Amino acid sequence: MTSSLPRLLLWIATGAILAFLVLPIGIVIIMSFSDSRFLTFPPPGFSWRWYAAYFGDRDWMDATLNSLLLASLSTLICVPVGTAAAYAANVSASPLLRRLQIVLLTPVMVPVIILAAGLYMVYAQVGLNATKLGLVCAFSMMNLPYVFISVLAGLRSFDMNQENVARSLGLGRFAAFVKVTLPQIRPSVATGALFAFIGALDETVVSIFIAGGENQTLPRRMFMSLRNEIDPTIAAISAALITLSFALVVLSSLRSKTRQGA
Amino acid sequence: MTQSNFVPVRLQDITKSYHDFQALKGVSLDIAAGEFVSILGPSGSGKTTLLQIIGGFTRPSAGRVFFGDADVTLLPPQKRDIGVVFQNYALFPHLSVAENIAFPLRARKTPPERIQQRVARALRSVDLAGYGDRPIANLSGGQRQRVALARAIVFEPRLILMDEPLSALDKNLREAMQMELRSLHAELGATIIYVTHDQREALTMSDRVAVMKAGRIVQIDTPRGLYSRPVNDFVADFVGESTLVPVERVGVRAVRLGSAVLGCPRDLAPGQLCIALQAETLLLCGDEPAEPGTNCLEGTVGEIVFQGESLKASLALQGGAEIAIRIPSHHFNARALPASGSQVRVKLHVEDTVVVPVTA
Repeated sequence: MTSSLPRLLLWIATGAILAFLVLPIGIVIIMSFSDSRFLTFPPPGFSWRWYAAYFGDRDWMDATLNSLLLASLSTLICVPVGTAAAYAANVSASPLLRRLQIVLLTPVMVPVIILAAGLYMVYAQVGLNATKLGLVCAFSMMNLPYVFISVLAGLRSFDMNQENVARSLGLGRFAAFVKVTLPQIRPSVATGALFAFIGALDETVVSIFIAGGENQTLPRRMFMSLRNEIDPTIAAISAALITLSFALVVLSSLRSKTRQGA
Repeated sequence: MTQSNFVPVRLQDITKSYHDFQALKGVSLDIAAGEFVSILGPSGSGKTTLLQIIGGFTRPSAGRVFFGDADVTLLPPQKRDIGVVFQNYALFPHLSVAENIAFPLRARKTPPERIQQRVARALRSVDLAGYGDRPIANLSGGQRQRVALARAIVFEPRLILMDEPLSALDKNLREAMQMELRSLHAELGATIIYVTHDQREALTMSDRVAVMKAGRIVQIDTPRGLYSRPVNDFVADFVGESTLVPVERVGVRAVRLGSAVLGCPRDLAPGQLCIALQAETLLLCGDEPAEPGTNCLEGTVGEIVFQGESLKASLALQGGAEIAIRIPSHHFNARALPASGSQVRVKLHVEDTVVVPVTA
């Protein structure tokens, strides 16, 4: 058994990495069911009170609904724009266009804090701070790269001859895309949309700068509340958000699995 | 399909440049209605670009494309009514066999009951009746090929374009499909433009073959014409299995190869010449004096290789050139088989003596 020691080490390393990824989430979820007034671990007893505090509070609910709305709207913008950009990047032979791809990826390359400060200053000039329009634009811009990269990866493994054939068989270019290309790259589009949605739902730093007033977002409200009072409501909200994101990811992977089975 | 939609195709001085690279340098081609024309060339010769332009997927930098009398140069592919079969078939994997074949009919808003009839008929014409409900993923390569073909003909196109459609099939299937394509062509009376780099395939199927090199058509001729009257060394080398040997001009219709003087069937072109010696046209002969209309060569037999139906022997000519001769491997020949290292004489019919000008 010469391989047993390396194998053991591999198992230990894998276990440690998984624990590191999962434990913080587990701790947050456990604390959300605490009956204590403070964020303590382990919690002294079990209760639903912090979930009641979250779902019963109008301000929290407003911020949540607002975040869901902003995430949905920005995803609706990101997906068609990002898909169109990926399509162009995939079929174009123009070297200029290839270089422009870099511009599309800047939102993930520039530090978020810089992006936030820049947005704040520009929005201050045009009166977009603390508006839904301003937030939707900012989120769309920030999450466009996820859709772009995901769809581009899908298109790279797609045979563009299929679209040419569809055109020769009598469909216009857009119709050919919708009937032939899109059904086959749907998983990549869905993945991109999922990341865009979750990204917008989680966005904190930019929100701290440019959200506010009526247009509060959930992560920003959480951040503010952490500064003032520390109670397990935050843990309950986090647990709810984690559940939502997790459910979305599981749903999409289940869907792609049934698709493959068909 | 009582009334045929197939049209003649005319290419007029087509040029295509990508940045500083000229993929096509003035290609003109006239194809009659119902003609099967192959475009033959090595990779990079521009044959696929030409097909893309005929299909409407790429616009030429200059020149025009006519279908019949109509100028279609700027027409998008969906308005050209062409059936296209690509090398990898490009079937739609998310649709069934019948849905794939119905695709062009649906795009044309054909009534559903007509669609069903025509799909069924197309499936029968490619021997796939009963396969309509299968997913594409469950088909073999040959079956996919047939579905792609059915899809390309079901809407009665004006022209059929094929881009190396058989290259993914194994040898036996490929040869069977070549015959099927030929008979389908005859049955439909279709105008077919067929792109390939396989000279045997082009010769087998086509009414005429256009040989391309570096963005130009070097020669367009019938398969027989291409084989026996190549215009230059490139065509002679690309079509058929031949060895090119430089020769010296000694008359209007005579050349010298080593010590042998060979007669030629036609007046020789000016400039440097070489002879294209095809292994199949050289026959072993004895020392008897040559009959009229026969050219003779002498050489030393080198290696003899058994290749199944024939033996291939290399022959070193006087003067140093090495050529190949092919001897059928049946037992009537076994007695006359020369030994390696022996001196032999081979004869070559004057009509098979192909002498071509050498291009730079």
